[in-house]
Amino acid sequence: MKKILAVGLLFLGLASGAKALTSASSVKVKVFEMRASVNSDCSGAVTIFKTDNPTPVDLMTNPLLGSGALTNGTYHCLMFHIDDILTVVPQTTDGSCTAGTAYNLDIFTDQFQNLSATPEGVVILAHPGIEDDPWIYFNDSTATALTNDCFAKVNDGCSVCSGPCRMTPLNETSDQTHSLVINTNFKVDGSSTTCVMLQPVMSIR
Amino acid sequence: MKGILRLAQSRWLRVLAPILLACLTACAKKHDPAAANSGGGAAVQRNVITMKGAAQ
Repeated sequence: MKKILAVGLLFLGLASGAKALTSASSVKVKVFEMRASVNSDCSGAVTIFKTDNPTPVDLMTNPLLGSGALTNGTYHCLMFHIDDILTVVPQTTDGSCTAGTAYNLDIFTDQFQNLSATPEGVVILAHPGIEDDPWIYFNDSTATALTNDCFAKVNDGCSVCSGPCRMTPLNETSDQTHSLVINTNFKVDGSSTTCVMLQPVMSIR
Repeated sequence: MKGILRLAQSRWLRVLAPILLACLTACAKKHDPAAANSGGGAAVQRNVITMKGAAQ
């Protein structure tokens, strides 16, 4: 019995040590533009707000990203032009990620799995550690999937797909406040020689 | 000068001036969106959408 327990504990220890993951105490992001569309394919979008030089805002403080006017209607697609390099402070020290130290971590980094495009269709390729400024898409089309990375408005058919993330349509008949959620809980990875960010879970609330 | 005075006193101008004025007022109203909306046309309602950021 003791032997089985010891083997079990050893297995658990190995499994938990396989990947050092922590959360963040600060996640700063820059948002250049937001658009909304009444169509599930994101066509015919209108700009809600836009800036060429956004100030980095800390998602932990529930910051204002921007605001703008929308006519009455049901909006089936929201899209955001963001800086893919987030400034992240790990909550705890985990492997190569040190608590309290700010890291510039790329979330649009895999040139084989991440692919984005502007709403007009201009392709944006992922480059590790380089600011590529992709778009992220949320809609209620059949192309959405939990495994999608949100970087494309249509599914590109790759193994871990660039495709839109799911959102519930917004029925705009009055002034409303919503949130772009970029959840980095247990996505800060210190298991390799450098601190990196795994794909965060993004959603609209 | 005499010609202008004669024109101002002419019966035709006295008849035409109010019609011309009414016409110009109507045209101006037609090109003013605010006035056009208040005239019973369906105004497009615009809402303010505020977007915040969140970590969870």
